[in-house]
Amino acid sequence: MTLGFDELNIYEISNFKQEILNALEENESKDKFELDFEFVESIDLSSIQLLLSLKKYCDEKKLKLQLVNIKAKSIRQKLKLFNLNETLGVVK
Amino acid sequence: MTEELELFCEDMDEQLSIMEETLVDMSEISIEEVDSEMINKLFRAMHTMKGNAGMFGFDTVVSFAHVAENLLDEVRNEKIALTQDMVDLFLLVNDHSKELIDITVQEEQMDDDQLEHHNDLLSQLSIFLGKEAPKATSKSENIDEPEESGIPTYDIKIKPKKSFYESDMDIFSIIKFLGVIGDISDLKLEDKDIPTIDKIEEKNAYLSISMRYLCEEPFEDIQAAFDFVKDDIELNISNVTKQVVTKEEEIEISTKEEEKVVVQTPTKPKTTTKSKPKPKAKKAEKSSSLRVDSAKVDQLINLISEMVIANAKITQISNDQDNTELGEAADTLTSMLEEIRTGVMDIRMVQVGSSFAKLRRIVNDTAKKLGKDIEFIISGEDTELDKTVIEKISDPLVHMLRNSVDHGIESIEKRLKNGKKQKGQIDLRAYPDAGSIVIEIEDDGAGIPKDIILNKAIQNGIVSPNDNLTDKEIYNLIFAAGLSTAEAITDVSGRGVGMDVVKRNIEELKGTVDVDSVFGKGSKITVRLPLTLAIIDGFLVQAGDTKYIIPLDMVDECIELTAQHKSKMKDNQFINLRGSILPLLDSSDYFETNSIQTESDRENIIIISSVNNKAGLIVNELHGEFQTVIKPLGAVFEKVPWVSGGTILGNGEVALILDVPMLLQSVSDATKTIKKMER
Amino acid sequence: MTKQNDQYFLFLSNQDVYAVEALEVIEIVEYQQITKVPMMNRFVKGVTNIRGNIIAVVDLLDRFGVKPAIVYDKTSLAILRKRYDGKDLQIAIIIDEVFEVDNIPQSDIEKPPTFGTKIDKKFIKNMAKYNGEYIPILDIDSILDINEISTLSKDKG
Repeated sequence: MTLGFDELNIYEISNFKQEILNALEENESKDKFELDFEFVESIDLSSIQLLLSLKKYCDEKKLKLQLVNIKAKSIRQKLKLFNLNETLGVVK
Repeated sequence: MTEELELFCEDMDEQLSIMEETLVDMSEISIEEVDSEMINKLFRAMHTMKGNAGMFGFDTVVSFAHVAENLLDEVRNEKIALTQDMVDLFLLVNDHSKELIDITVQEEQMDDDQLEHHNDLLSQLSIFLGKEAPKATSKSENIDEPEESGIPTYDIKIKPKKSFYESDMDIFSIIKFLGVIGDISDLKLEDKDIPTIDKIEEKNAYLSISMRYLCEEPFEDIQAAFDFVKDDIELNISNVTKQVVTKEEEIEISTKEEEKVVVQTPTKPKTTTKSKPKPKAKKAEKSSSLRVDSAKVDQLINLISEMVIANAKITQISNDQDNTELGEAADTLTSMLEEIRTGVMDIRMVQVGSSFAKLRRIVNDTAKKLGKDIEFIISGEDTELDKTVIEKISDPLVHMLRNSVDHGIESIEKRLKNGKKQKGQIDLRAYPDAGSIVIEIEDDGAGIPKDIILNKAIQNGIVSPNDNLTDKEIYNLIFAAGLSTAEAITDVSGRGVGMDVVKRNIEELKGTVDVDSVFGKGSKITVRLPLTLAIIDGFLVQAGDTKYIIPLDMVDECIELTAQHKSKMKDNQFINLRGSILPLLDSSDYFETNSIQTESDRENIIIISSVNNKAGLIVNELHGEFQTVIKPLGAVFEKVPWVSGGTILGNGEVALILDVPMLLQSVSDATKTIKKMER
Repeated sequence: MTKQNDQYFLFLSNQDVYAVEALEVIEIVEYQQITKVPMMNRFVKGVTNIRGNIIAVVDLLDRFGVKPAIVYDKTSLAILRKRYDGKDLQIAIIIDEVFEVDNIPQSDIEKPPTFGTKIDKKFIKNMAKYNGEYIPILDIDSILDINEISTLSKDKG
């Protein structure tokens, strides 16, 4: 699913969660779930937490989580900072 | 460029300047005199650079800086001895770092030459690192210290309270800051308490952050980093250093209590700018400073300027009314305004020393390249100038200094042949004088070849053969445009290249530049720059219909032009002032105001002086002291010689600000003409 | 006032009507105290204070070479926008009276005649047909040419 948000922050967090839940329902693949970050420019800690929460869910459902097309440098840096690239399935 | 990147670049520039300055200092003294403080300074600068670059993911910069930092670390721990070659290498490393950062920020790649140079520097650094021969006299003899010993190490755990996200505090910038003043390793997000996405209360905080942290700064500073979020998190900083630390640092083990408020101050060692470094080890002074956008300061200054105008109106009204209370209140307001004004103007004032330091590098490099032996002495580094002026004066100074080195100071053989000592001397001085800042560049070199310059100027039509120029006037021809052509270079021995640009740059700052010389002995260039830009204290006078403001520091006194004076004057344009001759300027002549000479009008003389010139300006009314804001008159009035700006008086009227030095200059020119005619 | 491309500001000077593109007019104010600046040509009357800014004042008629303006009760200052050296300058001209602000369609605008104009051709951009008469549309850039107007006066007093 391509994320339509340009900023992922506390103000959008509920919408963000809802979008992900919707996308999970509509997810056609049996073994992976992909989030496309092409248009996202920034991310805050609450959103990162949500991604981790998503990861836990995917683990339970045996879905492989993948984050693709992360263009924004600040997002890449933050994920790298906390060593989350592997955990969250960041695709270079 | 994003604001973040801009700040990054500014930071980097600062660190590189500190490094360069220190390295230049080191290169000028003997290795034994280099103290541990200087090496620490280099290390900290490199370390900060590495940390900053790391936050932006600039890996090449990080790895380059890392090697350099390692070497510096070994040196400061006295595991590797510092040599002059190493200092030279670090100067090259410094230069390359600048380039590398520029390229990285522009998102470009190094070209082949740069890459080669990059790797070359890396291998040279490694060679030094490979030579881990300990110093002959090692102070720390037996102890084979573990890596982290001596550097305080902490385990930091940050657990946001439930409501943390809603406070919208940026934890990343805190982490970034920590990374700058120390070393973060093992940064982890603890996610075990995070529920799955179908069950999570997304606005609550479930995770916690942990890290291992090495930092030499005082514990309070580390704590202070969390000031803005301390109410919304549970913070635990525990000291896990392997060895007992030195007495210089106090360690507290924090509890979960509320901590008292500490102003967040990124600590930096105070940059001392000296021309000769002190031989003893000196503990770095930590000064608290704020990084402020200069546009904000400008805005403040503008606001205060408008307040001064508004206040002038209030003062005028209160003067008209006969109300003592109002008058007193107005006075109080005026003096408080004055205090704020001085305070704010002060913010923009920076010591010239910081700008002068890099000039030394240029002088030394140029001298080395040309094989000249030069001693470069800087004095007056703590003289203060407005930040913008300092930035803009830098290039002209570089130019003039290069000139001195290149064409002023002669080669060693030539100097010896002429009986001079082998080492040439160039002095760079800064000092305040009568409302201006003076910067002098003086050399004991070859001086300016008067005849060659004069001939060239005549050839180029700048002056005619009949103009009787004084020596000083001839020397100042080097600033004339047209003399600085490439053709002129060879004839005039290179002196004067680009000097017209230098003069223009200085005049744009409302300054003046002047040169004097003795052929064979040396030359001296004097630059004068105005101190404050916007607000001046002035004396208001009226000549005819127009009001003029004369800067107060150029007003000596006021006297009445009495009939007695006039009778003694006869036809001459001067009076006898307590035994000396005071030339008079009739403002009606200079300013073409026509209604000044009527019988009934009062005539006063306001005596103005600047540097060595003094004259009496005949005006009608004297209105007293005024503090006003200088406003430009604009392009339309650029060519008017004696008016440097305008100001708005309390009643809304525009008064013109007199350019006293210019005015007096023309007086002395005129008196010279008179003297010539009398011969 | 929304400024469009064919809106013009019309005014009277010495009983003649002139036009200026409305986009070039910043505001009109009453004639007020002007401080004379020495050494300038006579048509640069001096400077005045407009809301805290010091603005140069040019006597339009004098600049045209007609004669110095006579100030009377309707005399006003039109503050114009002049582009110079990458900046927007504000310069005021003295006008006798505000006449009108109106649209003049492109079709009513013609090239200026080669001779016969009351004022120097170089000051005229175009001629506008308005209410049966031809009105010169002034070339502000030329009238307020900074190089020309900033030149110091040759004569003294």
